[in-house]
Amino acid sequence: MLSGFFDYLQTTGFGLLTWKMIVMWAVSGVLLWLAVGKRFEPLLLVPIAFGALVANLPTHGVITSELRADGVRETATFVVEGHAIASPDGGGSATGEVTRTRVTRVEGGLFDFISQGLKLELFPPLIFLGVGALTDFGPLIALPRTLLLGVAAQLGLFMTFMGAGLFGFTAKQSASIAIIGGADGPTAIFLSNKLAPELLGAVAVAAYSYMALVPLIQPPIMRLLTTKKERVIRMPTLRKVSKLEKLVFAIGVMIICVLLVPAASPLIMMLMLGNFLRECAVTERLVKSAQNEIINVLTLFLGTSVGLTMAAESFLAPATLKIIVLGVVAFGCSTAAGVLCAKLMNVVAPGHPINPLIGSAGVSAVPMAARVSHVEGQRYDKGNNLLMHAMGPNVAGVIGTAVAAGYFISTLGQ
Amino acid sequence: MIAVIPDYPSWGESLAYQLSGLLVVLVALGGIWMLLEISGAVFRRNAGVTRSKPAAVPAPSVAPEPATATVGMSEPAALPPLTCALITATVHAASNGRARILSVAPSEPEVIHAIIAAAVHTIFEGRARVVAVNPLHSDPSWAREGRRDIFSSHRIR
Repeated sequence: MLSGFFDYLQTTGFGLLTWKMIVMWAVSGVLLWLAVGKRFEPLLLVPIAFGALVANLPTHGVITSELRADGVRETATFVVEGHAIASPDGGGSATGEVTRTRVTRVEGGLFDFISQGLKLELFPPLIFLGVGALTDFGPLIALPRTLLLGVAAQLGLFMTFMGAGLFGFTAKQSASIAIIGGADGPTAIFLSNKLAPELLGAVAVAAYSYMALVPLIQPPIMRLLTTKKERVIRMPTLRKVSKLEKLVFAIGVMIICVLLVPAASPLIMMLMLGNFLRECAVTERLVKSAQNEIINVLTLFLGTSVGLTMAAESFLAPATLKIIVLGVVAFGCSTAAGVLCAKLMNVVAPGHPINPLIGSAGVSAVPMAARVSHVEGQRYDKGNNLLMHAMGPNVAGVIGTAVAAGYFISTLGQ
Repeated sequence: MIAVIPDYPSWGESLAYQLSGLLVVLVALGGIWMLLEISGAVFRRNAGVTRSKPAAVPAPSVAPEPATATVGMSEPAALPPLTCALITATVHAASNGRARILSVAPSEPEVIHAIIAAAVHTIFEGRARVVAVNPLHSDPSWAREGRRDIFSSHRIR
């Protein structure tokens, strides 16, 4: 009886535990504490942290990962078994033509299949559908100059690309790390999965962590780069934007961006589809689905799939620490570039003053970055409502980051 | 146009690559800016024309009846009319002098809030304040929400 018990013990997972796994439990614990205790981006950090915990348990039937010959650990692989079906003439496919196969068995864990949404790059564009359905582009349409702030914020992203090269990353990896500065989670995942899937877990965690830390990271930079006089600048009330104008915007932006950066098409077209559904006001049920069910389900799957890539062997590497450092540099540079661009705009066009605090909202992080601008403005002038003005650069940042991602994919994705 | 960059670019290559990328972003967002300026000018001009049209028509001798907000009370006739968008709100008074809006038809949020505040002020003569505005879909009663959906999906001919 005792030998049977010991035999069973050998089938349990205790023997498969490593010290690295236990360190990752602590990392998951910290992420869960940030999400639950501090409420930092809980909608994403909870699934990511939970996925990371599961990835570091000796599970069976959840996800498969294997070490490739190039040293990269590939997750979400499944086995398809079958046999070739003889062609009518009885011959094979000696010329390398199409071979027909009858699938007899498909074997894989739950997330081997669900994570295909991440590997096949389905989740980020579908999340953009929901983002589009939730976003009001009215402030940007009413004050198009704020698009410049969205451009400026991408400066940090390109600067970090250079910095990542200094740390020894390849161009593809550098682009994946630099996109953290755009503070746009789905875009960071989309780009990283295409260019450097081996860094996906670290990039996603860094991107979402810094997005959650926007209220802590941005204000000191904003205060450092602005004077008190600049912080109390009041901006005129935005004009009301008609429904037709918003519809023209959605179509126009999609056409311009797709023509210029075709590689960003999946993100941009889904963003604008979601926004068109919202603004046309005749597809209420679809908008509700995009704003709630679709984005919620996908956020859950995306977060968990990303977390499951954080196996100890790939995450506990010096590269992760470098990514965390470079991520905050990217984020800080983007924030600073936005603020400085707003100041420059005030010098060039003093007749149309812009409160430089809204420049920081040029990073995506919708709507938290805009809220930070508003709160920071009210610290110095309680009656100064900057929220709607800051939403302009904020949504410009979303488009700008998607365009920048498209540029990276176009140039590095071959 | 596409910048080709090696796996480990030199500083010069990296800088040129970044400038090229920034230019692409600038052109894309600049194109959108141009689109917005053009469409904005067209829409503003059209809005100006639309606004100026009624001025050419002589004013009627009797002012038109404003649309009214219906506030659910035992004596609705006693309420003064409120100029507003079409909206129906149900107001329940609480003994502690607070008002809670139970249901609001979907419309522009700012307008709804203004109407509710005005209605509550009028009905309770300033003794109440709005503490919460709940849209219908947050109502826990699924049956009620289902009925509302069915009714709102059929247009009365």
